[in-house]
Amino acid sequence: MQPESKIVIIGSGMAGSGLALELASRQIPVTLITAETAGYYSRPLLSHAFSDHTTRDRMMLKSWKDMETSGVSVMTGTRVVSINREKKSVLWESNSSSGELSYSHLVLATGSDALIPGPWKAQKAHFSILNSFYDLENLLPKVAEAQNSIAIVGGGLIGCEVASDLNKAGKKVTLFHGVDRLMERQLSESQSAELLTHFQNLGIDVRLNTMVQGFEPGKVLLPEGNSFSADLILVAVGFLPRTELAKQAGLETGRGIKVSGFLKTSDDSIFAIGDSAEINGQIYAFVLPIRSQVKWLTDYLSGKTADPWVPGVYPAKAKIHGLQLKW
Amino acid sequence: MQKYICIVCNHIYDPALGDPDSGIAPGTPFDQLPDDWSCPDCGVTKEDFELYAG
Repeated sequence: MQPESKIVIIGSGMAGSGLALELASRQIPVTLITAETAGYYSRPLLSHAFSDHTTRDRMMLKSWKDMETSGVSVMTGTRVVSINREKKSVLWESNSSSGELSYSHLVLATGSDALIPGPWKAQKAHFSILNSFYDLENLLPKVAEAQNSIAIVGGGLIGCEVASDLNKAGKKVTLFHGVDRLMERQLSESQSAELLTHFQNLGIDVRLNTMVQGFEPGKVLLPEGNSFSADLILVAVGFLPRTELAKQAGLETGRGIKVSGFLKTSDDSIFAIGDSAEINGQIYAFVLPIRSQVKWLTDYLSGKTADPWVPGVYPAKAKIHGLQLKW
Repeated sequence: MQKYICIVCNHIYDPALGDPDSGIAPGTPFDQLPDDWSCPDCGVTKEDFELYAG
């Protein structure tokens, strides 16, 4: 193939690596650029790596060498600094070098960061997050050392899954949530109530309607001047799509990178998929739709379909030990 | 009987164990799983499983 018909993917999560492997399996040349160094790992498993020590190893899906063997050119520990849309190239840099790489099609699979509300950013030293394999590696020894109490701030999907997993690991967990029921985005009111009872039976201390005010070393600051002491504080209050690169390149962004039904950004040669992509105001940040986007884009880029990606109905479930929760 | 592995999370479907939580009896071969069966760990469908050589 000629150099001008080269697909470049930025990001090695489920969206980026998944797409790279699918394209490579159809003998389509593809280069994956990633800031990650560990390998292609399964991010959904992050929230249950505490109770089962085999999870940490199991979540590594492919080493970079495996990816290369599958036909993907991989540039690891490498960040894309900017996109030159005129020249259709990206400027990249790693610790040891930098350069320029041209593309025929560019796919932004940049994923998401953990959301940290503005006022808490200055207090980041006082709490942990769980968004990457790197975060997990940092957290595992801290969890092992946390003898008395672990505080989780955020009773959404990740907060509840981690609370369940830490409880299963034998840890004393207190879960703070700002509204009146758990996982209100996913669950019906009766399911939220069922989850609350289940957590209480497990011995998880759930504090609903509790707006956390901030953090001090070893302390969660609560309303009315109260505070809660913990050996470890974990904040899980949502995710933030990584849009900086797209924004800087002048692509249209909202909460995510805005794409059409063809997963195309406002530049015809640039696509976005996964946690960073926003379609009709929606961000599909979980496994099934991301797999669906990956397969659709593979078909589209290999000329197998000319129809747009159509989101389906995606059943989902939470991994809470001892309770089946589906929506 | 052949084991299958999930390409998204490395979950292994072992026919000898089945998937009792989803009502799949031990001894059910992978190709006899219902089409709406999904990975117990990450929720993907059967088509994201491949033959496990291990």
